[in-house]
Amino acid sequence: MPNSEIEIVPPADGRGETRNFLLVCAGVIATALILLSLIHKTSANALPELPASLINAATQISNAVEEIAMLEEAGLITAPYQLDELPLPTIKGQAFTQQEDDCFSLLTGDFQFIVERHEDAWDAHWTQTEQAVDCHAAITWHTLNQ
Amino acid sequence: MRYLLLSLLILMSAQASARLQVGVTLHPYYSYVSHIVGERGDVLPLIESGFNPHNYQLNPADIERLNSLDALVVNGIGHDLFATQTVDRLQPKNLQVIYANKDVPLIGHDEKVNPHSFVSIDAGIRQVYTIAKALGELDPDNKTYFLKNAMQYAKTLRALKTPVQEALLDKDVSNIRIASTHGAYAYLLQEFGLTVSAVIEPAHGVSPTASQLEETIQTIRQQNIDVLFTELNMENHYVDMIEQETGIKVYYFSHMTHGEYSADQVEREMGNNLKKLAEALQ
Repeated sequence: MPNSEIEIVPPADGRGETRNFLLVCAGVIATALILLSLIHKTSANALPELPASLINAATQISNAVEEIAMLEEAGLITAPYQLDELPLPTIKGQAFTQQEDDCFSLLTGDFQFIVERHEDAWDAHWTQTEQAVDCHAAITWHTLNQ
Repeated sequence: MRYLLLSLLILMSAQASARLQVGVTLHPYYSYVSHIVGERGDVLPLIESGFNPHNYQLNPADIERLNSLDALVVNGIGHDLFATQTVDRLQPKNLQVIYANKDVPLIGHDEKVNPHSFVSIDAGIRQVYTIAKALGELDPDNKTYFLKNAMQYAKTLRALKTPVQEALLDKDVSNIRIASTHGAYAYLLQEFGLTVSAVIEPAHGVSPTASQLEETIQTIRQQNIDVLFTELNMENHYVDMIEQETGIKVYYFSHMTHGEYSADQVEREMGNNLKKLAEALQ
């Protein structure tokens, strides 16, 4: 058989293929790790929530805030505000207390709600705390429907 | 004389067009808005009664109605996707969308939020106030009237709680274990310190499979569930089987999204729900 008819096939570069395969694997793993860390970071930054057992309490307080605003608009209550004039609810046997002229608070379990009058409106917030804190305490306050 | 008649007609048509045209997506919002606007506005259901809001698709006539409205009151947290998705897509000019649940503290979060806040007294009142305020901004001349009506309606709704409050006097509810066919009653039960231990339907209106039913029966037995609340206007044949197998007491609640639209539907059906609840707690 003449030599000119022999086709010489060069051997595959096994090392190169292995290197490319490993590079792709490393890329996939790195991407997965980045995505997982992003998910974890998002959940770590998630806003704290009121426990489900306090959702109705928050709703009643939110309703009270609206009613106080409407009563004030109708001239039925005026500053200085008195606790017994405001339609604030009792939550699990706990009643609101008056902290300041314009601020009322209620501690139930590890959660404190406050209802206060700002310059232009009434609003309410909650925070997680083991003991009663001042209305202006430098802690994170959340709105009721968060 | 002719001029006088013409002037009268113009005056009447101007007054008619000045009345707020408020659309609603669900039955409870028809009741809420009817009480808020009284005689000073028209309440128009976006879809006719008899359709299931969970899987309805708006047709061209519905969309035409949408374009004629001043405001549309929506649940906005998953119970009326048929409307919110269309409104988001079309963004009709001059339409004020009122998200009734904007200020409601919700059960659940993100996509798992419970949208049945209208099956409730307190969360219902919260929505009534949000709607009244939004309509007052849209029609400032009637703002005081709307807010006054909202407060009066809130008083009426709160009075419906009386039978349950009386049933709960000096009663420890911490040991009462409750199951429901779907999660529609979580807001209502929580108002009285009650929680749902087991929810039976995999999704609203979807019957459980044989294995899910078997699992439910086991759960009811293991957790010593005392009562099961199910939906009045849906055929739940499997509930009879659960009742036979476990001996559990079954009570029927209205979901308030069936039947003809009427201003007194919420009072009537919620009143019945609360009487049933009081009966269940005896």
